[in-house]
Amino acid sequence: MFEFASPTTLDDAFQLWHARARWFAGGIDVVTELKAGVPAPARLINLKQIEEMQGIAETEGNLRIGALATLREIAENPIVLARYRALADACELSASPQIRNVGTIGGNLNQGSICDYFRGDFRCWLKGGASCFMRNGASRDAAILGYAECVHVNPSDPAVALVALDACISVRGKNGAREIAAAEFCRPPTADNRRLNALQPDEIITNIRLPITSSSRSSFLKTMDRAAFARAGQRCRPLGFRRWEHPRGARRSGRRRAGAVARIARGRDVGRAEIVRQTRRARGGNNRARRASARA
Amino acid sequence: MPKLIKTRIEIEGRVHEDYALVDKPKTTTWDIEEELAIVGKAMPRVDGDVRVSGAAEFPSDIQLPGMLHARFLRSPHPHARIQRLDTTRAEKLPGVRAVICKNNAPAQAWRNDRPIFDDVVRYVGDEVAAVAADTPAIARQACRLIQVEYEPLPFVLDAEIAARADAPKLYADGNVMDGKPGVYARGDVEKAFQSADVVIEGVFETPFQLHNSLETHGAVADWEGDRVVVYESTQNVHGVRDDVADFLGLAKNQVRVVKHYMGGGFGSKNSAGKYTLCAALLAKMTGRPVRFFLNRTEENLATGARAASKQYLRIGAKKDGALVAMELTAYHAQGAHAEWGAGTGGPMRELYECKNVRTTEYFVFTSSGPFAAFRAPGYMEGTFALESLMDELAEKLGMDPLDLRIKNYARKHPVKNLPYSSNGLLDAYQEGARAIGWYERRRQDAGLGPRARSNVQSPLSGVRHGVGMASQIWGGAGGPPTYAQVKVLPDTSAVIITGTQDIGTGTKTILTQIAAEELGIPYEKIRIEIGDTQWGLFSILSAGSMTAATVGPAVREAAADAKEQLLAICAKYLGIARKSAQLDAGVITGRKRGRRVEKPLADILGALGDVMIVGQGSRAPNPSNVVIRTFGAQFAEVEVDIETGEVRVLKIVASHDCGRILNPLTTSSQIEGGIIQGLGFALMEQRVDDVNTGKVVNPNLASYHIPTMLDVPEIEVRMIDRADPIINNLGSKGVGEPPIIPTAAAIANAVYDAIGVRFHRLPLTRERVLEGLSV
Repeated sequence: MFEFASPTTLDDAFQLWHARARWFAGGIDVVTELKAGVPAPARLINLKQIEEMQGIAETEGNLRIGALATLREIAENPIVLARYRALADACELSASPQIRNVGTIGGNLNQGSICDYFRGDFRCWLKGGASCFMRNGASRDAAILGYAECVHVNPSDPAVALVALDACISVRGKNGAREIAAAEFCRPPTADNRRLNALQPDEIITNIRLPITSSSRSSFLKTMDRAAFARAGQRCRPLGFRRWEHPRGARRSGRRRAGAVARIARGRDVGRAEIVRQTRRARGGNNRARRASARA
Repeated sequence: MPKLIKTRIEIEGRVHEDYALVDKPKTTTWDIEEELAIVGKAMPRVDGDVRVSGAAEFPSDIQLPGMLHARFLRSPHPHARIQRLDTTRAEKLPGVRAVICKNNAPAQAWRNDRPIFDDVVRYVGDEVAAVAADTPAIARQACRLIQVEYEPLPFVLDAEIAARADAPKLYADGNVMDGKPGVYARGDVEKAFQSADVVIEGVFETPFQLHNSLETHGAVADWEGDRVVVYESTQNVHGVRDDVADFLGLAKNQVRVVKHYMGGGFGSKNSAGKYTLCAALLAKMTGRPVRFFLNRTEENLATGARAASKQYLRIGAKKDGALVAMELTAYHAQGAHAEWGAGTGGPMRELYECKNVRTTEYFVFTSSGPFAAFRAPGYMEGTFALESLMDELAEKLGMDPLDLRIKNYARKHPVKNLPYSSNGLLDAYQEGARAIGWYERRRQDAGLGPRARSNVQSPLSGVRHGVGMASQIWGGAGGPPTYAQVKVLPDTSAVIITGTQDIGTGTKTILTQIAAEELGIPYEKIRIEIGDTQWGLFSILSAGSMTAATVGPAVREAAADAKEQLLAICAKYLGIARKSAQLDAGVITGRKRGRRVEKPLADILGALGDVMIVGQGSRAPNPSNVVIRTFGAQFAEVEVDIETGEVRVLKIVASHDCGRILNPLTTSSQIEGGIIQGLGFALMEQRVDDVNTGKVVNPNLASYHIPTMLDVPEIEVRMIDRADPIINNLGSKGVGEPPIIPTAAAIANAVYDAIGVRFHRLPLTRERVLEGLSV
């Protein structure tokens, strides 16, 4: 049993907030968790009626994307398509049409890990447990970069594009608003704070600002285990990496941001050598798992 | 008077002996060239409108007044002994109506001679207790309140390891079913290998594949006095009836099983489940109907899987390609519970002419979810291994892979040494090869290895193209016992009644076509009632590609019987000679003292009022001294991105010989569905176990990937539509399983053609492709 509240302004929303409340928009993550039997919050605060978090519009030299904009709205928006192609592609390649129709960009950036162990019946490090099950388990989806206590990978495709496009995330909490660069927004979990982003529990994303730049060419590439509705795969062949660095028509000086290879959407250029080196380390993990299997 | 016979029937590769009552046949096989009016035509499904409009009632849709909702508590351990089990707190929860567990459940044996709730749990997901409550939420909460103390025991996931003597034992008498492997041998294998010019070997591995039925497993049980009605999503209403009656000690007529529609089964719904028995028990305890349907996670963990396999193959051949010896040792992971195993040795024993063959098949219990039959169980995995290795052999011999197969074509069934009733394998090769342009493509750049060839094709891009093929052999004869009735009503409409069930293949549609063809009554005026044990006549389960070739002939017999009665009655009524009476387009014609008489059937039956015409039919036995098999070949065209490891299947050409095609629409639905499941098996499907905890890592459809519509290639169906002259009165064999069998092998062979890397493990995931390329 929980209460369901639908405020129409941000001020009202924060009036309703308390420690056992949860924010709710598209519901992709929240409803899944409720169904999985995770203890229900006392109150769900539905943000979808809040006008100031909606829409996609140009303002003062920026493109403002409301946090409630759905992935589909972004993928189909003419301005995004023309100037921020990587973001449109990242949204279009996310999840399934059904999820893109209701899933919001705010929720996408704030989603939980999609590591099978995190989602499954395992008391893993990210959930406050002692160890990461994936490190010595079924590790084909483990991070290559930042192989640490937890080896989950960044779950959000749009986050990678937003980092590459120098987006700024507008955030509001009980004690006021602040802005976070996309690259700072995505942070690796630490022992003290196992959150996947820079938000505080009471904070929500209100909108995203993209600077209007002269350079408008970008693209987002994603490999998957099937043609649609799959998380991004991180295994990339060194030979292939070369092509990835220089997609057809791109200039050599283009910047590259890697998504599913790392625990976070990376804020700096990712080089081939680093991927190769780290892949070897991660494969060591795979081999350990295989040996464990042989022992069993 | 029907005759009692003893009959042998092959289901999923297993031979059963059974008695059957057979009538003196009234029909003979439709001539091979005979052009029929309705059979063979692309008739739309008789229940298409009901299905697409949502009016069709599936077992999981059943809602009854006062109905309770049931749920299992499942084991969190892969292997443990239950030390203490206390349900008191759960029982006290308001809204909980009954709890059943090892403390109060019937002790009698269920599968593997163990009770439904055992002292030992053998996989993560094994049933520990069941709760019936007012709502699903209360049932779930009650499960959390059941207190269980477990003593964890060592577990084992890998079949080959589990088969060793020192492995943790799931059952007192060991993990290998029957204590020893199934061994088949012909000829002198060792000697033959010594005489071979070329010997090639390989170790192949395939994962657990899941049925992922859209409608999960489950049943609704409703008692009326001392009788129970069970609405179950099943492909075997009579089997569920027998299971429930046996378990509860009821007469067979006290159990009525009903299933009008179902959302998939693929072999996993061949018998009752623990949910069926618990639904019936909980409904009895509470005096209320109980709905017991599993959720998606349980569907993944506990309702069956294609056994994971490890296959060691060795093939010896002469320089000219003639096979001299073949050998297989295979381990099949049966999971924690299984009544039988589906070996991977079938294709090796049956597909090619080879005098010396030995297959050794271990069926091994492991600490994972139970095995269940899955669309050509064993044959699909075995074909992947055998047909991959045949391709390797062809390359080693410098032969075209298709030519090697044709060279070893078996004219007679190699195991039984008997002729086939019909065999369209060579036609399927020819048809498929022509459609994909096999020889043109393979001859290009002759002399270059596959890798070089594809590099020539596209030297710059990161995408490589390849084509590959594989063969298929499978049963699909069907056979007695199965019975049917056809009623003709006073308004000239008719009803077919039989006890089969439509697993979703279009059974109702083809049976209606057959009855319409035989009766001479329009297709639209015939209805069909199936899926009910109390009203229907016994019919075998819908499995083993048997339904069309089993029930179809019985329905045709019943229709012929009804027509005979109809003509006799009409002749009598009109005073015409019986032998001259004919029914054509709804009009009875005949001769009365040399004069032609004709009258609409509707007028005659209308005048006769409630004269009841009931035709009876039974499935006649299969011809003896022949072997009945379906055959086929598939050709795949793929594209491999050597930078990302992504494999994309562009096209599959499927050519199968399943005898006479009853309906090209339902046939191509089967072919397409089989290919899509085969493609999933080749490229993405696998249930992944965590080796450290024994838990399934991907117990959901988000992480257990099945193909999406975007993964589905162009599928070209080219059936060898030729009636078998002797098997039954239709000339048809089954088509449900053949299409899934060669798909994965054809894709793997095409991938080799594209990139020159041979994969012995499925699925062909990106990292395996990349790893293969970097070696």
